[in-house]
Parts: sequence; C-alpha cells; structure tokens
Amino acid sequence: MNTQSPSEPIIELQNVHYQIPSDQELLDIIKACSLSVQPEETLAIVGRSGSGKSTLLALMAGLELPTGGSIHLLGKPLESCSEDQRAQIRAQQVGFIFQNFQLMPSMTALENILMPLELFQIDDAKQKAMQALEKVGLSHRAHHRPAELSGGEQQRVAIARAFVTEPKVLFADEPTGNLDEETALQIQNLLFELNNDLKTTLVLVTHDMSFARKCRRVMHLTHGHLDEQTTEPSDVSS
Amino acid sequence: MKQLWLESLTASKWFLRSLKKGDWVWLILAVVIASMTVTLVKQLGETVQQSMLRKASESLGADLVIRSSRPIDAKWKSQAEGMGLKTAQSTSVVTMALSNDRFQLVNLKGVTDNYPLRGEIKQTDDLPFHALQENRVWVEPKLIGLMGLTPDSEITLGQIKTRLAGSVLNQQTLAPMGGFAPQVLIPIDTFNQTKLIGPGSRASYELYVIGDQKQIKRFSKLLSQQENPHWQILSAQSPTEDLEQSMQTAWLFLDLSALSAVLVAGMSILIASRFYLNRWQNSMALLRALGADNAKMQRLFAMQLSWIALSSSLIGVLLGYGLSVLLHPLVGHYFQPLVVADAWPAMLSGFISGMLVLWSFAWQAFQTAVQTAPMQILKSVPRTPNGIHWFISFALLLVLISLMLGLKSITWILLGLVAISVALLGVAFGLLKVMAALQTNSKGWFRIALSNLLKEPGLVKIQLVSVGMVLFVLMLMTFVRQDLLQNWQASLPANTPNTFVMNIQPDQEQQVTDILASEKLYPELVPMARGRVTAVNHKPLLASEQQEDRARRLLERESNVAILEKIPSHNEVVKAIDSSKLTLPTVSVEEGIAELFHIQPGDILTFNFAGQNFDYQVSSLRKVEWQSFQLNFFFILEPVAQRYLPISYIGNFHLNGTDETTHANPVSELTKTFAEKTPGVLLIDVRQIMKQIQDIMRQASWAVTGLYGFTLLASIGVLFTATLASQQARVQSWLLLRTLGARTNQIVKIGLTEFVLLGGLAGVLAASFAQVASLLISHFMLKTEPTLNPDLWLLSIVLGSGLLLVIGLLTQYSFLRKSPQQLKLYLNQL
Repeated sequence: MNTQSPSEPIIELQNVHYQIPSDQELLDIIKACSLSVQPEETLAIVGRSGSGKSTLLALMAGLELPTGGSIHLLGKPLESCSEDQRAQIRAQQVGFIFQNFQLMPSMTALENILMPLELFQIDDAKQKAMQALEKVGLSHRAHHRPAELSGGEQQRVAIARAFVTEPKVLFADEPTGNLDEETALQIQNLLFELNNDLKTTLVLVTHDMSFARKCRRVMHLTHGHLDEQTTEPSDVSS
Repeated sequence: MKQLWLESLTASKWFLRSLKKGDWVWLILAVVIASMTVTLVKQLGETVQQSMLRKASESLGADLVIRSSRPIDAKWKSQAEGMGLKTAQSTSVVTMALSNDRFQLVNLKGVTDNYPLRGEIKQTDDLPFHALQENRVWVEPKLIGLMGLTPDSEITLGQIKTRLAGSVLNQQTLAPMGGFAPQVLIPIDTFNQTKLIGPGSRASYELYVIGDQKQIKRFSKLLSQQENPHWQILSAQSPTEDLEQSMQTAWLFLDLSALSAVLVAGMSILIASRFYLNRWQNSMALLRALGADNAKMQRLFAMQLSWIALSSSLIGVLLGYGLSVLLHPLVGHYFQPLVVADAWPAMLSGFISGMLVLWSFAWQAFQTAVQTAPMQILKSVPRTPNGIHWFISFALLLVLISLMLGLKSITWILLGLVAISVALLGVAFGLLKVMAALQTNSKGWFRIALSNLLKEPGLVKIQLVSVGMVLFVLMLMTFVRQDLLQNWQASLPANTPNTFVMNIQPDQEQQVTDILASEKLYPELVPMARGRVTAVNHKPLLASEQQEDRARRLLERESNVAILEKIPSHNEVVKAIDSSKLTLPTVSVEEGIAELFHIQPGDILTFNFAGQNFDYQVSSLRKVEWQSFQLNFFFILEPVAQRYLPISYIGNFHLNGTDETTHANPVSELTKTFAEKTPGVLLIDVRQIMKQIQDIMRQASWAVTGLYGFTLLASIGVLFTATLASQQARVQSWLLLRTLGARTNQIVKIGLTEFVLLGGLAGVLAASFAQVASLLISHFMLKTEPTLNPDLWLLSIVLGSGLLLVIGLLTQYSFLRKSPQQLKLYLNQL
C-alpha cells in the first residue's frame, strides 16, 4: 500500500553512507549523500567509472541497504523494511533497465516480457506483453530469443519489460552503455517517450553527459559525494 | 492456497517452456540414468535372487523346512496354513531294507502326496513308473544295482512288504543327510504301517512350507522365536552356511552396483547444477530485483526442480522397467526356472532414488541460487558458503544410500562417506597445488593447458572428484567382482574331492585302504571320534544360553573331532601359544568356533565322547576353507595313548562320473563292494551337492558380471554428460585462444591435454581410494584375504587418461575445429 502523499518526494536520501569491508578497514563508497526526487521527475546521476553510481542506484531501489543515514522510497523507510518488504515495493512500483539488458537467454522476447507479469500472476499477461512489445516496435520479433536480436533490439525488449508493469519509478543503469551512438540515441528517445507517456519517475545512471542532460536534473557523484547540477529541460524530457 | 496453486501453474509453465528449449537437459539425463539404473538393477537383481531362491527351494523341496528329531506339533502346520502357506510333511528313518536276501541301509522317507512342494519328482528309465500308492515305493536308481532289484522285486521295510513303483532321482541334495544312504520314498500312511518308529528311533520329521516370501519370513521368524532344541530350520535363503555367505556377498554386489551408478549420476548432477548455477543466479537476481520475495523464489524454483525430478524419475523408471522386460529372455537363458519379480518395489525404489539423487546433489546449487542477492543484478556479490546446506545434502544422500543398502549399515556408511568426501577433497586440493606449481615451471601449449584447467579450481575439484569417483567405483567393483569370482572358483578346483568314505571301524581300516587302492584311490584315512564340547575353562556351555543359532546347533549335536599329530596343510594356523605353557593334551580349534564361544589359546575345553569327559588345552586357532570339500574339522585333538576314544576313520577322494561306454557308476560299484566286504562303511557321494552349488555360483557370477558391465556403461555415459555440462567454460577458452590467433593443431593439443591431465589425476585419486577400499571390503565384508595391487596404480592412471582422452575427442573435436565466430554463436545460444 502506498503511504505517500502527492506532494511528498518519491525518493528521499538523508545523509546516506555506504561502506564495504576491504582488507582490514572499511572503504567509503557513498559519503553523506542527501537527495530528494519528486514524482515524475527525471534525474541523471553521472560520474566516472568506479565512483559508486550503480551502488547509489541499488541503494535507492532497495537492492542494498545503506550502512548509515536513511532512504525513503515511495514514502517507506527502506532501512526498516525487511528484504521481502523491499521486494514487495519493487514488485508493485519499480522498474529496471540494465546496461547488459539482463534478458533470459533461453526465453523469447515475448516470454521475457511475460516473466514479471507471470511472476505476480497479473491478468491478461500475454495481451499486455504483446502491447508492450508493440510500443517498442518489436512485435514482429516476439518469438525470437535474445541471441537472435541485435543489442538495440535486446534493450528495447528490456525497456518493454520494465514498463509492462506500469511502475511509478524506473531505475536505469547505463542503458545505452553497450550500444553504438545511433542505436543509443534511438533507445534514449524511446525511454523518454515512454517515460513521458506513463508519467514515470526516472532515475538514470550514466557517464554519457549528452544523455544525462536530457533529464531535468543531473547530479555528479565524485568520491562518494553528490553535487547537484540543474539543467534546462531538453526537447525530449518533460 | 489459491496463491500456491497459481504459483505452481507459473512454475509448471516455466518448466515446460525451459524443457522445450532443452534447458534442463543435463540434469534430466543424469536423473534418468540414476532412476533407470536403480529400477533395472533392483528389478533384475530381485528376479535373479528369486530365481536363485527358487532353484535352492527346488533342491530343498520347499521354501522353508522344519526338520525335527521329534514329531512336529500339528499346530505349526495349521499356523502355516492359517498364514496362507502350503504345507507338506515327511518322516524319514535310516533303516535296513531286505530284498532278494540282500540287506541294504536305506533312507526311508514317508511323504504326503503333495511332496515335493517345489521342484518335481524326476523319474528315471530304470524301472516302469507308476504313481506312488499304498505299499508301493520309489527308489533311488543306485539301489537297483545295490540290491539287484527288478520291476517285480519285493522289498521288506519293517513289518510290511512293498513293491516297486519306479525309480526317481534324489533331488533334495542340499538338505543334510540326503546323501547318506539310497533314498526310498513311500506314502506316509504306508510308512506308519512299517512300525519302524519306536522308542529310541533316530527318525527325522519334516514340515515343508511354501508361499509368499513375506509370509515365509514371518513364519520363519515365529519358528526361530520358539528356540526349540529339536528343530533345525532350513530355508532356501540359506540352504547351507557356506552358500549363504556366498549369496549374501552376491546380493551385496548387486546393491553396490546400483548404488555406484546412482552416485556417479549424482556427480553428474553436481557438475550440471554448477553449470546451471550462473544462469540460475542471473535469473534469480533479476527476479529479485523485479520484486519477487525470497520465499516465492524458493517455491517457484523448488517446484521447477521437483518437476524435473518427477518427470525424469518417471522416464527413468519406465526405461528401466522396459529394459528389464527386454532382458528377461537373456536372463531366462541363465536362470532356470526364471521367477520374474514383482516390478513395483523396484520401480518405487528407482523413482525415489531419482528424486533423492537430484535433490541431494543439486541442493547446494539450489540454495546458492535462491539466496542470490538482488544486488547481484548490478555487480557480483561474493557468496558466503553455508554449512547447513552441506549437512542437508549429506542427509539426503544418506537417506538415498540407506534406501539402497538398508538402514543397518548406516553408521558405517556415514563414517565412510565423511572420510571419503574429506579425503577426496583434500587430495584434489593437493593435486591442484601440484598443478599450479607445475604451471609456473612449464611453458608453451602445456602451460596454457594447465592454466585452462586451473582457471576454475572449484569446477576442476568437482570434475576431479567425479571422474575419480567413477574410476573408483569401477575399480572397486572390479575388485569385489574378482574377489567374488576367485573366492567361488578357488573353492572348487577340478579335482576337488567329491566322495567321502566314513564310519570305518579301526579293524576295517586296512581292508578299506586295500579296496580303494584296487581302484587306484589312495586317500588318507583320518581317525576321528563323534563328540561334543561341553565346557570352556570348566564353565558349562549350555545351548539354551546361546544367542546364535549356529552355536546352539553345535552344542546340541555331536560333531566329528579329528585325532591327528599334525594340523593338515590345507588349514592355516592363525593364532597359537607356546607349547611349553601347555599342561594338558592339546586341541586345535577352528577360528569361527573360537569366536563363537570366545575361546583363546591356553583355554581348557571339556569334550564328551560316548559319556566320558576329557579335558584338552587349546594350542592353536585355525582358519578353515569350508567350501573346499577337503576334510575339515572344528576340533583336532592330539592323540593320547591313555585316552580310549570311540575312534572310526574318515577319508575323501575324487571319483570320476559314470563311465559313458559301460554305464558303470563307480559310486554304486564301490558301495556294493563296501557293503559286501566291510559292512557299516558308508560312502557319501557329494557330486550332486557340488553341482548344485556350482550351478548357483555360476548364476551369481553371471549376474555380477552382467551388472558390472551395465554399471560400466552407465558410468561412461555419465562422464559424457558431465563433460558436456561443463562445456561453456571450455568453449570460452577456445574462443579466446582462437581470437589470439592459435592454430587448430595448437588448440587440439591444448584441449586434449586438459582431458588427459584431468583423467590421469583422477586416476591417481581413484587408485588410492580403490586400494584402501578394497582392502577394507576384503577384510570386513567379504572376509577374504586383502591383497595389494601395484599394477592398479598404473592401470588407473592409464585408464583415466585414456577414457578422458576418448571422451574429450568425441565431445570436443567439433568445437576444437570451429571458427571464433561459430564459437561465439554457440556461447550466445547458451
């Protein structure tokens, strides 16, 4: 059940720390990060490789818990939720897109999109999956397996899978990192189009500044610290 | 409930979808092999066992016989019939028969008209054959010659005169007393009219029982509980003590072969599940990131694995049963009569084994997969091994093994498994260290082959252990089989004595020696006395206080006690005491008897011979090969001039069969001569007993060899699946080497060297364990002499390398010649 009121931020980080043990000392990955993301906002987190972008994304999505501070996702304090409660939040309101697509190699494109719907026994699963495939322009490739699709097509399938459950928040981890420039641009456009249509909050991790600037807000992660840099909305983002 | 139903629908849908795409193929194959093998081996084993039991039953005339020196209470017949068993009865007495003025000692047996319950009366052509009726008798063919019988002869037996109804073979050779005197069969009512049974008569009463094996066992248990001192219970399960031991070993081998096939299949599951683990973890991480909770994932995944276990076990069971049906004609060729066992128990065993083998060997991978952190979708998270899962795997494995071998041996199995697993892993770890050291000191393609092998030490450890296990099992079976066959064959060489001459009084010794010498037979006639041991260290030995049947029987009956200066050369002294410490005349004791009554060298034994007691001190313990048909004795006494024992002589020799041209039967001829010249001397022909034992052992050898071959094939099949299941890592290496510009012959060399190395190392592993295990099995289970076999090491290494090289060639050849593009395509499709 969503306890969030319309005016409340959809994601809120307060003084978040994340450390991992390394040899005999603790290594700071995220240091005192605070952040607030409003509903339907688009946020890009940029930074160099190894700066902790993906870790920050995992913390926001409840895939991992911070070692200090607090994170609220959709109004719920993640640090006081159990693993299964966090899973439930993700199941109901969160979508993901990954750099390496994370499609099941033995499943067809349609079956990959069907998977989350079947997992949560959602009605009319097949029809909804086909509609999602049509939205990403791949209905003709429904019965092809990932190995038979190009990188761009695989990411389209992954996008369709992310949107098919109509999530409130979409986390995207370097979604164009494995694609050529032209395909990357197509994927970016598709992502923002769907995001705009479904009024989803988008949290994007990337090192591609031109992609990042399409978001309403861009934040830099440097040595575990977040620095905000507001950008003008581009022609794609809302 | 509804949720669970919906989840099971989803799991079934996912399972079917993956099945269609061949996702589970290696797991399915391994489970199919395991359940098929168990079903086939159990079904054939049970069929063979029941057929052999039937053969033994036919020799006994029933499944179970109570032989008593007193009339058997009618309540036992009613009790047996009340349990749905069929019964027959007989009464036997050794008496003199008179015909044509000739007297002859015969074993007269009065039988009910349904005798025998198992097998059939086999008539011969010596006399016209009629049904057995009042005042008519069937005689053994040798009696015809001994008494000069014709079809019209009259035989006087006790107070009645009888006529001949035919001649029949004496089938019941496995029962004691069967061969002492020629048998005469008579209806039991006529037998009673002979009035031969009176006070002091040494009659034997038998109740024969046949029927359902479970009821037979129940009845047998009931009889044992009576502890009746006059009874002897004979069963087809253990027609003689020696044969029982051999048969028990054969059954052990059958169970071992099924178990080894299952363990080998288990290893394949271990490798296959490791191969699937990465894929499972990726799926799990994704599903967890998408919001599936841990319990739901466990349920969905467990349901899919259960589907695999269910469907593959079912396929395996059907295949196993189908194969057993196909093999029936072949088995029937060796086992007559063929008794096809009820298939359900074997099928159930096969099914449960399939389920258990999957769960026990895939449990680790299953648990690792379901514990996958959702964070793993973004980056790799180190795994934390959990000891409890090993414990669960191990417990499931124990259930499986106890199902196959019975719960009795569970403690030994537990200890053995822990020891073998730890030792195998330890040795594998050591071998990996050696390879790592070798890698730093090598160069070129050999170095690459080594580094490829060491790239995934975890996988190599599993491969090493599984290939080692396959070789180990094969070697172990080779040893057990060799021990079995050698033990059986060695016990009965071609010139084994097959005729015994006994009851020779001292004044007849020279005459008997002369008669035998005229037939070119020169046996040593051994002096002996009939007596029984009554006390150890002056403490009386009472039959009623003994726990074991054998001990009770020995105390109730007189046995042959030899009186010899020296211990025969075919006996081996295993324990002795310095003769200067002995104060009394000495006795050497057979080690089994010594163990039974806790007798040690130096102890004083009191013997009773014809009412007189004599003390002897134990000088040594001897090992005796009872199956050798040599003259063997539980006790050998030192001759003492002042002790007058009721001595008679006994000897044995090998006598050829009936002369094909003259049809002269040497046993009949000799019996006739002894009856005329040395009355009372008995000639016992054990050729038929030996033939029966040899037949049974030949059948058991065949079964053992057949199953050995099958397990060998199944094991090699499993090695193939294990190799293909770990293909991904290998193809990645070929791809890298190809990309770096390696030529085909270089890749072939590197690729096959990996296999040869793996096989050779596994060979070392297997040889060491097989050697230790064979020593232990020989000593503790087969009770045979353990032998060290240095050739084994060489054989094992060559076999391991050779086997893996062949498997490598067959499974890798096409991959080793593929272009980088083709290899990439293959990897993409995984």
